[in-house]
Amino acid sequence: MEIKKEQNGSALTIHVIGRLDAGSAPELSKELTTALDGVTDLTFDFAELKYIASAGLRVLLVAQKRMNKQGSMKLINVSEAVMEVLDMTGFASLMTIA
Amino acid sequence: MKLNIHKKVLILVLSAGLVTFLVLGLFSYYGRSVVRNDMIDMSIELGEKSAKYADYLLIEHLEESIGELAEAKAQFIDREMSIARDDARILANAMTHIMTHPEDFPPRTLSDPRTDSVKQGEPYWIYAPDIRDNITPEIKNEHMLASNIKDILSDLLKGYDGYNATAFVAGEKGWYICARLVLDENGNTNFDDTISFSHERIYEFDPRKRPWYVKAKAANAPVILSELYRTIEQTGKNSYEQIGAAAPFYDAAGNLIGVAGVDASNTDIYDFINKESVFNRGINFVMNEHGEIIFSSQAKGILAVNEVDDLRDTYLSEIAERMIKGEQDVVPVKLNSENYYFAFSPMPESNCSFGMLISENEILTATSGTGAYFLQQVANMQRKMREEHSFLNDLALFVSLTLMVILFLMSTNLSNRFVKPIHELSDGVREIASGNLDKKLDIHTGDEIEHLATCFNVMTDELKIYIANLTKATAEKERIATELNVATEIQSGMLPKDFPVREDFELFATMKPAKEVGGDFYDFYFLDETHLAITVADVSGKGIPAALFMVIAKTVLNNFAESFYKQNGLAPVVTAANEQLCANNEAMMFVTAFVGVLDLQSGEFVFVNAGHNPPVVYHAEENHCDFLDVKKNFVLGPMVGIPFAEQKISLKPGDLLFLYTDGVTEALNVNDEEYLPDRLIDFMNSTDCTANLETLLENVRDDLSKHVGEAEQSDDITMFALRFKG
Repeated sequence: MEIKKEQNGSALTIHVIGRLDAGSAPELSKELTTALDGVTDLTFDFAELKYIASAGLRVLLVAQKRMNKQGSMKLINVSEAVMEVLDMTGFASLMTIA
Repeated sequence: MKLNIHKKVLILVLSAGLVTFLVLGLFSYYGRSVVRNDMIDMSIELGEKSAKYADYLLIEHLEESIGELAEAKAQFIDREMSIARDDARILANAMTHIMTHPEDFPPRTLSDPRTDSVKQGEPYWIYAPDIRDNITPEIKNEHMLASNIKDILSDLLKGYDGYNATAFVAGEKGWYICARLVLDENGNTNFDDTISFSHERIYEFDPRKRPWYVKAKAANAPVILSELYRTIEQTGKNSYEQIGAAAPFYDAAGNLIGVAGVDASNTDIYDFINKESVFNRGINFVMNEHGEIIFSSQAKGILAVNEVDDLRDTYLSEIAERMIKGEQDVVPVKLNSENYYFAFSPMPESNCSFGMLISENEILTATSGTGAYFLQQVANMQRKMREEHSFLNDLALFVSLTLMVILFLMSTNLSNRFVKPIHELSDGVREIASGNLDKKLDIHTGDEIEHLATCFNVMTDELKIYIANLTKATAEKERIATELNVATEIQSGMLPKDFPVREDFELFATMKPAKEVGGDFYDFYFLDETHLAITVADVSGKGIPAALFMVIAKTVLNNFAESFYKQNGLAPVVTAANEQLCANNEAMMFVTAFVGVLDLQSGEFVFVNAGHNPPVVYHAEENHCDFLDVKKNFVLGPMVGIPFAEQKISLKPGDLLFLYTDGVTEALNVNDEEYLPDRLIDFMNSTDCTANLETLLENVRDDLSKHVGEAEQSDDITMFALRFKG
């Protein structure tokens, strides 16, 4: 998994590339704990995200919970495979997906 | 070719030494060759120059010698000739005195060889044949007066000891007074002997016809009889060549009375002229003041006696003039087309000059020996130098070989000394490597090897500390691993393994954990006699947190199902469980779960799908599988107060539910390709779904294994099958 960040003032776009599974989720989780400071507008770009596991969902959940307090969060460019998981787990109805 | 350090050092030192030797040797050889060649060249030049200079010096010296020799010869001949002339003059003077003072001298008589015996040196008298029988008193008186000369004759003759000699006085009137010395057979003069006279000497001897008389009378002055003339005896033992000097004497009126003189067989002068030469082919001659040659070693040619009247009239005139002037010199001349050195020296007493000619070839022949001698010396020197050069080469070779042996020994020693600490080092390192970390390398060579040893010691110390730390860490890790294993076992132990064997339903489940302790679980239990609750769930994440959350989730679901289901149905059970799980879930752990309750009598199956994978349902009547159409409720755990929709299907006998976790559909092969729900449903449709459940699950697992291949299992794989039999 690879993470790319685009900061524009208080807006942050995070590109998650590859597989977000139990092995790589802690990395994103750790990244987010500091990256989200002062961010009001968080965007996850999943254009190149191939797979998301439940551990990855948990990271999204943590981010969502935090962003509920300090701004908003949305997912963009979600692939069909990832969307399927989000859909199945009910995350799709909980999160803003553009 | 692999060489150890010992050999490398050896080769290095040896080759360095050899190269040095070679270079020095070549330079030395080159230097010596250059010096030798230079020396040889120089010696050749020196030899040639020396030879030339020696020739030059020798010629100079020879010229000088020739001059000196000419001078000596001139003086000797001059003296010899002047002695005879002086003797003649003494006799003539004495006779003049006697004959002009007859009153002072008594008449004397002498022995007559015709009648008397005459001893050596004893004066005798005779008369010329023409007057012998008619001797006048006048002649007799004059003869008797003249006989007073006898003592002078005797005394004077003693000076000619060792020769055939005669001292004599002859009168114009025909008388003759004489004293003789005649050598015996041994060439000695014995004064006691009597002389035997030849007939000629007694009876035929006319003094006035003898050459000395004729010449002295004609010259009217003392003469030297330079030409050899024979005694009166033409043959026999008394016949010999002689030279002499004669001088006329006169009366008071100046009329000639007679001639006095000496002659002797003294041929020393001739010998001197003819033989006493430094060279074989020389010409010696004596020239008088008139340019006449009076002595000569030549029998013919212009330098022979009586060949030319005056040498000044020949092409040697210039030298002849100088000789007559009394000069002395050595000059080159050409005679008979041959080059000569012409030395001449004056003879003052006799008013003559001595000339000596020596062939240039003679001198060059003589001197060429000198040059050859020098060249021979040079050649010897060159030979010696070559020998010495050769010796030096041999010596250099010997010294080189000796030094090479020394170098080899030293190299070996040096190499050993160099390698020894390395050996110690490697021995020490080997000991350390074998586990003795307390070993300390004790090398004090003061060089890089000591530094290396020190580094090794430091490394050993650090290794010790590291090993201690590692041991500690490993122990810790092992402890954790053990604990995790225990956790896995506990987790595994929490999953029910006793599958009920009943008429109305069939149930089988497997959970294959991944490496780490995971979060999958399944559960089944009876809510009452006719209601069977089942759960398949997947906790997010892995490890201890997931395992703990799993335990909580399992317990909570179980508890709420048992206490809530009968009164409120399944949705409130899930809702209540979610509420419970959300409490204090700061970590936002969650679990996807499929919870269902089967009415074993009616086949009605009530279920809630909390974000879990949709199960596969097998419709026995159609012998067809498809995914159960589930509502997509949110997962359990993170969100409070969300609703969960409850669904219901009716199962017919033989229908089958296949529940699973994402470990099945998301199983990856080596190319990171997922197994995917489509393949699962396709496989379920292709396999025998009426088979024994354990077999069915095994078949699914086999297909899964085909897909996964060599890839490592990345997630827990849980499969759960429930068949309603009615």
